[in-house]
Amino acid sequence: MLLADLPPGQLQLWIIIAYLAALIVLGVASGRVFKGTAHDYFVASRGIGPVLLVLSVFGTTMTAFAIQGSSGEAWASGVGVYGKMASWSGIVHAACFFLIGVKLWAFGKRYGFQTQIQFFRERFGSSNIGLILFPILALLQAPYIIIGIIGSGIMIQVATRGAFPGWFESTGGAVPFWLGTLVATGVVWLYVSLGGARATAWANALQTVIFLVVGVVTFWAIADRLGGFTEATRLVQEYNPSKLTRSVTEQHQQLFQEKMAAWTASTQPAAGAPVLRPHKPKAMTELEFLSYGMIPLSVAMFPHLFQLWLTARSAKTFRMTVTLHPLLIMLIWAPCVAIGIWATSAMVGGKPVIPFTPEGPLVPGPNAPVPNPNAVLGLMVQMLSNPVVSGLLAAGVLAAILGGMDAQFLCLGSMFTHDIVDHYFEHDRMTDRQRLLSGRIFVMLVVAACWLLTLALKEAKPIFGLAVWCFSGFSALFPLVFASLYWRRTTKAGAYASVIAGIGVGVYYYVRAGLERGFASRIEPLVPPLPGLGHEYGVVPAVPMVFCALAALVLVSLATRPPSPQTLRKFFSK
Amino acid sequence: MKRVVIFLVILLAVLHQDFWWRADDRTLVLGFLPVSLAYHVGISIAACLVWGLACRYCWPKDVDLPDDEPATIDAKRGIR
Repeated sequence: MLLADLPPGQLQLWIIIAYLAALIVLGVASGRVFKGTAHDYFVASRGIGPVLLVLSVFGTTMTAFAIQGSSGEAWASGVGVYGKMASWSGIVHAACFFLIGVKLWAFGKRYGFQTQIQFFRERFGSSNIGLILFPILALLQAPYIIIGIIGSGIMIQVATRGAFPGWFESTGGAVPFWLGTLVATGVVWLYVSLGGARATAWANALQTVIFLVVGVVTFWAIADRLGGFTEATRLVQEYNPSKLTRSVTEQHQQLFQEKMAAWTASTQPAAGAPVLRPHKPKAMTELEFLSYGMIPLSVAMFPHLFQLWLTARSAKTFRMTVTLHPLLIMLIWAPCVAIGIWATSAMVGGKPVIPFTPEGPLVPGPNAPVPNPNAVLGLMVQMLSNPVVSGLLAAGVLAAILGGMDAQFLCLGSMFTHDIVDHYFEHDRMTDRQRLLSGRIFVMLVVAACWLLTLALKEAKPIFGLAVWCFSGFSALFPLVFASLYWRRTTKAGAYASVIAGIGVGVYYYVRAGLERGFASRIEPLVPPLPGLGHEYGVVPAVPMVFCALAALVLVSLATRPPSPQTLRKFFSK
Repeated sequence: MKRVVIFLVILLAVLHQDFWWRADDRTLVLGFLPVSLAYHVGISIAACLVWGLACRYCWPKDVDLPDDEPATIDAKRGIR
């Protein structure tokens, strides 16, 4: 049977199945070298080498947002998205790996820590610091996982439309959401259960390779379809030049008015086909651009990244990760941002490719599509009419999603085992076998709970807006981890004050924004940094959160008794 | 060298704020890349080089542990 004879969606389905099967094979292979200990299950016996570490850390930090979201945000906000997210991440992520990751790895190896809370308990001599940190870390991570599962379900459903017209009539023949998410999370659970941290690292490495390849292939194919790189950008200069900058000039406004008038005329009943609808020029303030530098600080406190750091064979293993991470970010983000910008003005055969703008549909009416930045990349690929590229893109996006999810499942299982069950119920005396069993059970429970929550929250819009707030929450914990490693004077009371102040400010801003604009809407993640300032001074919530957390940590630490000499000897040997 | 690397990291953060391209929608690098995007691609490459220098010349001295060290400690703690 020729590929062309396959029903629509089936080739994409086979590509997705092949990808998921490869993950299972990796899980089985890692299970064969599994040593049967909790130490191997949670941290791969601290034996991961430099190449695997760089690929797995990158695969874990880049979520679906790196492929789907980057194009969508570039389409909505313009070229500034690369600077505010990708190049900031390149600088700050590497800094966090260098300054924090390496040191935490060394303490983890020296004292046998397997979770962040174990480190903080010892550093601050506080048995119960986990009571405040555990719920915060788990709650900040939950929306992140659920968004990933939702993304995987939607991606499988969209890619397989038409594959089974007789089986799934209500979805147009596509694999339904519940089944797609069940299979995706089931595969992740399977390979995590089989091989633990090693399987996670191997799978992440594969996923990184897949979405790097997919990004480049998609970029070339789309540019070619639009008449070449130069032509694709020329159309943007002609219709939406503001997307190529962070500012809005008078010429941009004037051009927008002209193009808008032409589009309005084209939507009249007597007119022919609609012309391209211009995007309303939207400026990005320099303060907003600068403030995004706070968001990547979140990686310093991602529990799943901490878990991955611990798998490193030696401190030197980190060198390649620190050095190459900015380059890998660039390789995936630059093509995706370029595609997003081209999408604003893309036309094939005289027809616009994207049937909507951020302000509304191209052709108004009751059945008009709802503007959705996350759909932009999919629509650009659909324009290619190439099921192989569509299938590859679906696999690439799934790879990005699942690459973050596996490490998150494993680290939540580890936190439940070590920080709750072992510490509070077994007084840190669980045997290795018990911890392995507990870890596997909790990973299964976390996977099942997240899948059920996803089905319940599928339609709940606030979950999407919550993502940036969650990143800000992790950033608010940055002063805590940084000071605990570099400032001897940091005290237990200072640590508690920092967590309460940073997270408290975030909750305050979130509730206030929700009450003003409604929790059911997507709560924009820009807030005025000081009371009384207008929205032109908007910054990401991480800015006030980090500064409040830092101020509380310093002031309270200075006002309370310094840590004991034993603690200082243990963590500041020099 | 440590001071040079710290200076370069700060310089990267300062150069990141490229307000000078803010309104330039005409200049294209390689005929298709908006200048601001091309500039930030350059920042990413520069970040790679600067952190490479940091790893080469500013690597912390107290983190390279001998292989047998964790075994002793893990044994005390019941193999964590």
